[in-house]
Amino acid sequence: MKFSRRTFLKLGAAGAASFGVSRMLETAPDAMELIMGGDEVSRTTGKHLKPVPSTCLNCYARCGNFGFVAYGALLKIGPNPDHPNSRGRLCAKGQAGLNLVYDPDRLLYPLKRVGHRGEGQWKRISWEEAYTEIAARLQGVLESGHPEEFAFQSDRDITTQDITRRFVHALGSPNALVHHPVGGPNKQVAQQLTWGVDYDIPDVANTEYMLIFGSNPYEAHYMRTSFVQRITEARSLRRVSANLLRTKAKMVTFDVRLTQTSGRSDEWHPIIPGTDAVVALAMCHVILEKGLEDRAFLDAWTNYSPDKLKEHLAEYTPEAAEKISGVPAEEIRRIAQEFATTKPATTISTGGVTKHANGVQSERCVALLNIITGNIDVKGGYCLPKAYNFREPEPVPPVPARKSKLSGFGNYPLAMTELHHMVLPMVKRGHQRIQVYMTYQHNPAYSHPEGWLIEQILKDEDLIPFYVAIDSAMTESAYLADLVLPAPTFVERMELESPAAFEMVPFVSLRQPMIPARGESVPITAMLIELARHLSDDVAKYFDFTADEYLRHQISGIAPLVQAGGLDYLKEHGVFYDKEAEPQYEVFKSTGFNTPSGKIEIYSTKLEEQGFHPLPIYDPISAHKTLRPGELHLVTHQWMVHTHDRTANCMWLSEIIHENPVYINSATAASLNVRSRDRVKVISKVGEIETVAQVVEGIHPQVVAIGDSCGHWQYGRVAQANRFKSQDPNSKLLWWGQEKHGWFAEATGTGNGVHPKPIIPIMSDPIGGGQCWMDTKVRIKKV
Amino acid sequence: MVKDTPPGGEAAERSTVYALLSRAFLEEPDVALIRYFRSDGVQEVLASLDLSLGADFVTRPETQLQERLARDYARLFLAPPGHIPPYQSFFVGGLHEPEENFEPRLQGKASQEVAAFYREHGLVFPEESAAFPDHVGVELEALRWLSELEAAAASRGEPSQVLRCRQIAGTFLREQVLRWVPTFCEAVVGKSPSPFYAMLAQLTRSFIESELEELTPCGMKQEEVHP
Repeated sequence: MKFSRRTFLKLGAAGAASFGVSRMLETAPDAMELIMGGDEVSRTTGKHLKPVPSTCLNCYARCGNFGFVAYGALLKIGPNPDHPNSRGRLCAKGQAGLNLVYDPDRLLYPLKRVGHRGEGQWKRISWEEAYTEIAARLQGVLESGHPEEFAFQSDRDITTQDITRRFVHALGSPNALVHHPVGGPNKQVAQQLTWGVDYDIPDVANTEYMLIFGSNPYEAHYMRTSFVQRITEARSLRRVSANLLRTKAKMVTFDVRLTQTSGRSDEWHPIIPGTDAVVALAMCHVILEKGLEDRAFLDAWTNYSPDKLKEHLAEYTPEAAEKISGVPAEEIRRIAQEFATTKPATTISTGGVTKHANGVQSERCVALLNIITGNIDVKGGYCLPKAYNFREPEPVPPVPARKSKLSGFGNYPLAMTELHHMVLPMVKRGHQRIQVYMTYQHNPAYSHPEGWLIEQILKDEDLIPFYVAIDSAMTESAYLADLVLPAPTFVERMELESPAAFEMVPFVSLRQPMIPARGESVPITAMLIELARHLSDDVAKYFDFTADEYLRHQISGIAPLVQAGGLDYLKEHGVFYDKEAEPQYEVFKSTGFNTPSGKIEIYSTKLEEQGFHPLPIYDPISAHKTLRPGELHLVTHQWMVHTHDRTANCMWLSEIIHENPVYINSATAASLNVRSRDRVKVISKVGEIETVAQVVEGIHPQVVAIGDSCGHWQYGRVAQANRFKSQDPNSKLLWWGQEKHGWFAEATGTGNGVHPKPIIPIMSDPIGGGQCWMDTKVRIKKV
Repeated sequence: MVKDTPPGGEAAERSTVYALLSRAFLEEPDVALIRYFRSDGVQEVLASLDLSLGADFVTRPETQLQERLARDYARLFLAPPGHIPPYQSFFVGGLHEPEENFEPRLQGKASQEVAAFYREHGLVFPEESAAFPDHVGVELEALRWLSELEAAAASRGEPSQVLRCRQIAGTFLREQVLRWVPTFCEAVVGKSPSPFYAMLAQLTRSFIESELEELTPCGMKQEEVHP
């Protein structure tokens, strides 16, 4: 189309500037001089890049990082060598934080839904409009006399948890659902019942023996880089002690898959899912039978006599364990002996043990191995976490008297935190009415089991009349919200952390903005302070501080940090720890254990009171007992370069992992006439998905596995990576989303894999209440 | 070399067109902008350019129309999935950046170059601004400012300064704006849910293309002109 220029210019004359003019640019004082040929500003000055020390949050390991900034732009994220946990290492996820900041799909402005819920019709609103609308809704909740009908599910960095809880409690609602992700409650409950804290820190750097159950620290442990670097150190030959070159620490892994960790272990023992406990107990049986236990420790620091324990373990013979787990009895005997006679030694266990219906008991059984061998909190052993606690500024809102099943634990009296995966299903079942539901960096539609059900609940305006999603991305859940508020990414926010210390000296680390928050995104702390001020004085009185002051309050109880300069010190260095302090081992000798008896509770009266077995037992999983011919166990797993739902729109990461076949053992595949690259359906009792088979030797024949983090249906172009043809330059880079790039896309028609969680039924461990991610029975059907 | 007829008189009109386009891309239309497009004069111009905003643009109540256009604006430029980020560095890399290095993102190389261009020529893009310097509306605003200066210089009878303003604007168009705005406009035309933004995109594309011709010194081909 060719316009007549003259006609065009009439547009200027026609309205004579009757419309308002936007001004985004300002004129410099020397503008005229510049435009008329005065001095010029050099584009490239070779200026030194400004490093900003901060703390990563692209996974929960929370490593120390540096942002390198020039002219207001973040050019690179690198590791902070002074961080005592991560010690100058930063994984791919941490470095790809840059992708989040400059993601063209990130949310930059507050949006209000204008069409039907889930229709994707929005309009931009101002923050003031957003605050006013939310405040009016919350005022309505208060006036209804049911403050518990306001629920808030959020991310779990410490500052966010604290400020969110403060806000929700200030409104009188107990439903500050802030603590745990959907995978952790069982481990937490097991640890709290047994030794009064969570979680264990295996001191792997100093150990001689690592016995791993259902954990994949080379790829996916929750302390990731900080942890695995110490494992590799223990596995190297460079440890020198008293002029003696020691051999590397031994590593033995029980896992259903040949994971990155299994593959790097001295031994890998495939095991039937959910049977780790029986193997651990059989090892304890052997240790006690051979008199290899640390009797002095057991007598002094546990609440159950070794002789009675031996009696209890009598039934758990290696032969009995072999029948249940498939692990040969002689291997169990040998490993038990090795573990008990190699000092120091430690176990490592995470989701493969705890994400089952018997997760709490299984974790207690694994812990028992450390207890009976006296490896508790010793150098190189199974250690208590060392971290700082933070303070809350006065006045602190009282814990609401009003109870709710969402945050009360209903059928799970021993659960210690809310059960995230149960929240929305409980709303659907009528256990709690909701007027206002808010989420912060939380994406239940994608990350909860039976995601399709969760999506339906969020779409239902009778169940969830008003939904506010605060996020930096248009997630599957945010897409169903009424208001979507832009949050800064983790490199643009300020929060405090004190993760458990691998050097056994507690530390505080600061997450601080490397650059100002992009667009109109507002950090959650500032957002809640402002929202409180839009509510009554009764609420606002708990928020009489700035975000900066709030953080200063949080660390005000840590005397050596305050002396060093407090928040200002942290802003300069990113991390604080007492450099003179010695590593803390055997702390219990001065403090006792934080349990009713002050000792390790092999015998738990709390379990007994609730009708559970008070001793560590193998509790067969009922769903597994009925495994019929043709049925297989489905397990999910994480990838080294992804963190659940959060990283799929990071171009650098999704380029590495973007599709997830179902891994199946070659013998099993042969019996089903399935070959690699065949398209298959994976069918559970709650749904089915289609993906591609990958036939491997390294997986138990009764198990199939699918990785998570793939298969997004919202979140952004990179995360979705559907096949598309467009003008969009991103489509050129998303080679995995394009035609004929490879066999996965050929077979499935998508470039971004499948999402396994919708076919995983909502199911909880009866003790800990944690979701049973690993207990799904499936059939595989060739398409 | 300057054209025989100094185009100072046109510069003020050009500046108004840039102001209009810039305003329309930077924010959702308000009532004043809707009334401007509804005015007889503008409707006439659009008709002669063979562009239509649809019958209901004139008949629909203003507030309804405003809501509708706000929704279209969010759909096109703000709300994922599938929106068109209105930023240069989503579409192209730096001027001399090898194509294989280019990665669509916010505040990429192109954005930095545009910000540097503003700095060099006396414009300040405030650091605290929520927008980015390479937003299509901001780039059009820079061109508005240059044509405003040109108009002022013309009215003062300072041809060398008129020339300087035109050179700078021409360089900016050639090196930055025209590398991506036509593609951007094409995408908007393809995705616009209603005629308004399709019209705006067509207008913008044609206008900046005609501007390049206008600002290229006589007797020179565009590719011969160096910054």
